[in-house]
Amino acid sequence: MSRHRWFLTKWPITISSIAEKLRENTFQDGKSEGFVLDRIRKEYLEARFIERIEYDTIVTDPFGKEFSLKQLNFIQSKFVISIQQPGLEIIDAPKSVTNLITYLSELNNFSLSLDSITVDVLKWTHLLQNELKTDIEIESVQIGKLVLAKDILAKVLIKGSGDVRNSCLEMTQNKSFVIEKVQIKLKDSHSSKILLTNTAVAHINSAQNTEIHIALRDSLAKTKLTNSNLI
Amino acid sequence: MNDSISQNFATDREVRDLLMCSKQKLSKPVLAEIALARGIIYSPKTTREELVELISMLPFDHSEIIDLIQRREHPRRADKTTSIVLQGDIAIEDIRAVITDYTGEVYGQEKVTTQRISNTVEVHVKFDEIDYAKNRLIRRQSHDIKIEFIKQEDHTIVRLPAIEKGQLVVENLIGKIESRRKGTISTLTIDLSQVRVADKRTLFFTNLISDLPEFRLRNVTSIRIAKFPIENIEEDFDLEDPEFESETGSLLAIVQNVVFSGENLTTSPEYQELLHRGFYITGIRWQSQQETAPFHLLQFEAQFEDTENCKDFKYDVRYCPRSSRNTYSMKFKRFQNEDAGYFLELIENIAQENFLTLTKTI
Repeated sequence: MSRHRWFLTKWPITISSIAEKLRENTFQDGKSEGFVLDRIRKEYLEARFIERIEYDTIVTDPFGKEFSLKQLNFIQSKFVISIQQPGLEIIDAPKSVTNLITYLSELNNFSLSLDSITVDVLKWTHLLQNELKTDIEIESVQIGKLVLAKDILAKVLIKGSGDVRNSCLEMTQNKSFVIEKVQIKLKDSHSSKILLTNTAVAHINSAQNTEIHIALRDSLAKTKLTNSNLI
Repeated sequence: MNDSISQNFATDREVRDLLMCSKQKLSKPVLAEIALARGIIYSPKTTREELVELISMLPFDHSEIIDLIQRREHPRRADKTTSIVLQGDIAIEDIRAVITDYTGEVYGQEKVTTQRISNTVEVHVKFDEIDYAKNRLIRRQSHDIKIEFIKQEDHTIVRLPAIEKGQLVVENLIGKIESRRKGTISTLTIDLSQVRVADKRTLFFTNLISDLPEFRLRNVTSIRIAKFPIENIEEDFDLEDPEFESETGSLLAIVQNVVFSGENLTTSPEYQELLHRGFYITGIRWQSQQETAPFHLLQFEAQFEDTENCKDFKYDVRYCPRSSRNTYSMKFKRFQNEDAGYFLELIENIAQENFLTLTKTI
């Protein structure tokens, strides 16, 4: 099980110079946060951002006496930086990625621009199918902003034991709508399930599978990416 | 009209204006309370405006008017801070002496108190500001400003609120110190008017937010940017036709400055786009987290009052303590006096270092 989210970014400096900067800010003992570089290639790099969080929890016993316990927590966010668009992928992101993004922006002398992505999910699915060269079954589709009548909108979840594509077409005929989420099943040996959303997020429901990961990334890059602020 | 001399009472209209002008201090419950003290009960459905009209028709004696005026008075909202560095070794005794001089000079108009804490002299100036455009009962606004002289080895930092009165008092005091020492004192203020490159002006702020020692930058929530005014090239040509000039001037759409507010603004494409178009930062509000206990989240603000010349630098700091669950309420409070000094000094030092390196490289 892993969760991937992509952002549209243009890196102002090369991969090797980014790697250099990440290395200068390596996470070490005694530091509250920093990076760990996992892999560097010509086209991309994989790294982790680690935050060390220390805080005191106060526990009160039945007689009103207070005990203070030191808690220590580490938050890791794995990310991939690539020259090829979309540019930034965050894997299994924690609740907030603000700290990571601010840090990356600082390392790039505040000349980094970052944007969320809106993607046509069906097109993404189609390209993913080509990329993986296996058949894909669409198990469920979530449609939003489906116009039923003037000023009346519906949010619809279409589910089935087989492929729901045809029913989906029937339902949306001659209507304006947005496909928000698509759950697909790969007809491969693992029958992995993937949930794709129009905000460029993918949940992969199988053991770590590099092949699927790469296929997702490449198919997304081939889909026409639009910056979500334009819509 | 010479009525203020002959008229020694408050008219209904003046009372009405007094009650009307401060919605927060003289709120509906407060007005109802004033009426109740006189044994009058109004319906809770009466609007504030109606209450004001009704109450202002009642007779008020001198002490009641004074009470109303005092109820309305509100402490002036927090001003940003600014600072001036006085070069050279100035004795604390000199500073204290000129403050005593000043106290005598403004006796009766301003109330000056001083306090010395180790190498710092704190001056509080209480004064009334009178706005003659307003009616007699609401024209007086009292202020209390704090000016600090912080003596360092070879220089003295003067920290003052970034308002006109603060500047005037400090200029007066510096003048007095100069005449006492019989020599001019060179001062240092942050002023980027000589820096005419947009990127370098921006660099001043980006360095400021990333160089704070013992802090991690967390978020940038507001950025003000501006552009150098377009120089009128046509002026050089001696064109007789007056229509030519007006035409080119009016057809151009010109954006002179923009204020962004939001989250993580430095990475926003809109901001980046404008930076590429030659805009520079003139003010910024950011949040940084302390790397060590007590892990406060601090909200700093720094900006130039004069955006075109990047002059009159002023700044502010607020904080939000970390809760036991490692979260922040995001409600930023002002520091109690002593603590604020430490953080303001951080900004002052970094800003000055930045300013000196930037101006050196011109």
